Amino acid sequence: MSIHAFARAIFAVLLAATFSLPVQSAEASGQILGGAPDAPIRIEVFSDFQCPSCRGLYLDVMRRVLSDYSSQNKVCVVYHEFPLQIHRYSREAALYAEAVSRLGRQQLLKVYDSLFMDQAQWGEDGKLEVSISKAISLADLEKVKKIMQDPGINATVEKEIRLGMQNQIESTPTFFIYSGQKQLQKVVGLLSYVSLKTYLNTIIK
Amino acid sequence: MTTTLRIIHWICRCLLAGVFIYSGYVKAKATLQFAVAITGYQIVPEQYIYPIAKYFPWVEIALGLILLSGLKIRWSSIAAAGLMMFFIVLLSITLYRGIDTNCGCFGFGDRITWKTLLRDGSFFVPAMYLVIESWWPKRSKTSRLAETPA
Repeated sequence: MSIHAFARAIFAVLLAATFSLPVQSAEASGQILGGAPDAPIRIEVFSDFQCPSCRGLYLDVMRRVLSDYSSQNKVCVVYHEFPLQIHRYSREAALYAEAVSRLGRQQLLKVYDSLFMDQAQWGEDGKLEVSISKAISLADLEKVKKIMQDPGINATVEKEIRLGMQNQIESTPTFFIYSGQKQLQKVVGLLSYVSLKTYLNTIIK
Repeated sequence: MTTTLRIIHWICRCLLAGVFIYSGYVKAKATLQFAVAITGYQIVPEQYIYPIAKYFPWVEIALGLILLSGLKIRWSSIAAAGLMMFFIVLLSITLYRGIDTNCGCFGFGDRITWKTLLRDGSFFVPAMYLVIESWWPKRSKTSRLAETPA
């Protein structure tokens, strides 16, 4: 590595640390739940299916963002799996979600709804399939089970976790709001829809 | 004012100015994170959370700059003491209600504890000093001359 390249790398790290920018943009990965990648605003959420605040963020906030903004392609909502080790079944849930994402967005959204709504139940007994079967057809469930055999599913979830760690995610939910490549906000915790809506209205012209 | 009092006055003013400018800056650059912190107090109606998160940090920064400049010190010291008192009351109520949330005072990682209350409470002391010092009746040269017996 030349002196210049080394200096550039140091400068980039210092800049990222100073402005709390993510080390790596998460643009290329994750599950797009609504909107197109070229939407003016992109919200990237690092979430854990078994975390109660993530449940609140998805059901009370992000679903409304999807219907009010993503449907008009004003906001692209991207979810990243970040299962925490303290939650017994969250990694399995993340694997299921990753597998379902290969069936299509509609199925994925239904599974997100179902997994978050039934969180208390499967969080207790670990029966994730019961919740997933409520959201998709039996044929699709069989497809999901086959997809789950693919080692690529586990690799993708691993990649998402690494991405989260590179972005200094310490707790869930954590989400970033981008305008193009520019990071506008980093939010850790549960934000009310009213606050997010007011903010989005000020930045979306 | 003696030199010692003048030094104490300067320390209090600079300390408070620094506190308000820093805490305002931290909040201003993370509006939504501050909104999360306000939400955690469970005291502000939802529709007011974002406007408070957006404008309140600038009030703190402005107050810090006014304190630093020394302009209108009588009124800025009252504002500083009032704001500190407000924080103390807010933190006390939150602790009393048993709400486990982030303080959002100088960043967004510290939970509200008695230590947080003590830390914020300690800033009330220099604020009150400035209030007392700036409002204490000063004997002017003319009043002293008037008191001199003929």
